[in-house]
Amino acid sequence: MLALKILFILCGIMYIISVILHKKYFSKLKDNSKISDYVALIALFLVFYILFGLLIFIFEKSILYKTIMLIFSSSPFILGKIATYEKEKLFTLIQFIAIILSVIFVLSYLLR
Amino acid sequence: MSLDFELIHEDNSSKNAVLLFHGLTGSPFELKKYGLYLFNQGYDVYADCLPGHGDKVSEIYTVKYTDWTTFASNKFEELNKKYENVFVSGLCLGAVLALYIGEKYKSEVKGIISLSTTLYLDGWRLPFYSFLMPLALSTLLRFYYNYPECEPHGIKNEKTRAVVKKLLAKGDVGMNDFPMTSIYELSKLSKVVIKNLKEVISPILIIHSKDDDLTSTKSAKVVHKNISSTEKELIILYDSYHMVLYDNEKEFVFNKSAEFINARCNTIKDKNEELACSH
Repeated sequence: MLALKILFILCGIMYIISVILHKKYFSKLKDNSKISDYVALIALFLVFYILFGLLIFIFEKSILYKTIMLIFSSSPFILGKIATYEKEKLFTLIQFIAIILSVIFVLSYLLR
Repeated sequence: MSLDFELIHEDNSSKNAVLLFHGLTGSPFELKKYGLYLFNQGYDVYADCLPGHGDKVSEIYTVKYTDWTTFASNKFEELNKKYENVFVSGLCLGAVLALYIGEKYKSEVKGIISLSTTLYLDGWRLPFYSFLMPLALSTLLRFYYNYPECEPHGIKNEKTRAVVKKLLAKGDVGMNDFPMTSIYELSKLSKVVIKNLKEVISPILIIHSKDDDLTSTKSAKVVHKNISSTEKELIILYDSYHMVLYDNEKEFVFNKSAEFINARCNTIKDKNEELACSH
């Protein structure tokens, strides 16, 4: 369980860093296939973030912890469903906040 | 610059119209030769730019699949009032829209010609990580990049490919890449169409390349298997990629399409004559 939680935290952090790098640097590249490859990498971080979150949800015993983990793990899909192109920046920010909160939440239980 | 075209016989002699829909990020330009061929066979031909594909490139990012279906429905209804027989045909996204019209208007559609139907994005050109696409489409990742239009640009014939590459670079005939947001809308439309395929009862001709680089023959086979049409034909091409209207077998596709429409028109004519005699 400890390993799962550490991996969850790492994937969340890596996702945020990779999206920021994408916005600042990679999205400005002219070679669209390189951008495509890079976004696939971001997608991988997101896959593992969701996957580890769901595994924690399955193996955790506390109902409250389970519920919160389920919300965090499904947040990319919930936000993806309601997001619009015009408000993409706002939703990206909300996604970052959700991931940061999830990392703080898991970390706080780890440090207890 | 509008690429819409309407090919109408001046003497208003044609009672039959063909409504054409272009592909995702394409334009009616890609249907021009096909449209001209059908026009020369005696049919009035209509091909308009789909919503999000006009002069303002940014519109493709905000367009919804319901904009496409509303547009296609309005156009079909308009033609259905004017003509005795209306046929629908399309390429890629256009083929999916033609199927949607078939599902919605059932026997009012006299025939459907579905070319390179794109219900699933599973062609051989897609990168090895395309299995991540469903995730990318259903999260914010779909806003982060455009899927690049790359070799072979859906065309097997190298000369034609070179010409299309030049035109695409100029941005004259369509976009140079596929925004993921539009692929997301196409996938939503595909789900709706797949769910209601049994509602299609019109005669249908499905043409798909075995080596389609964007969408495998699975899409065509799913359509052929699940529709309720009694008159249905699936033709697999062996020397083309996705853009069947520009590739090595384009004449064959033109001929088959015209044959299909001619045959349906003759059947309708015979039926009408029989009815007139019985009265």
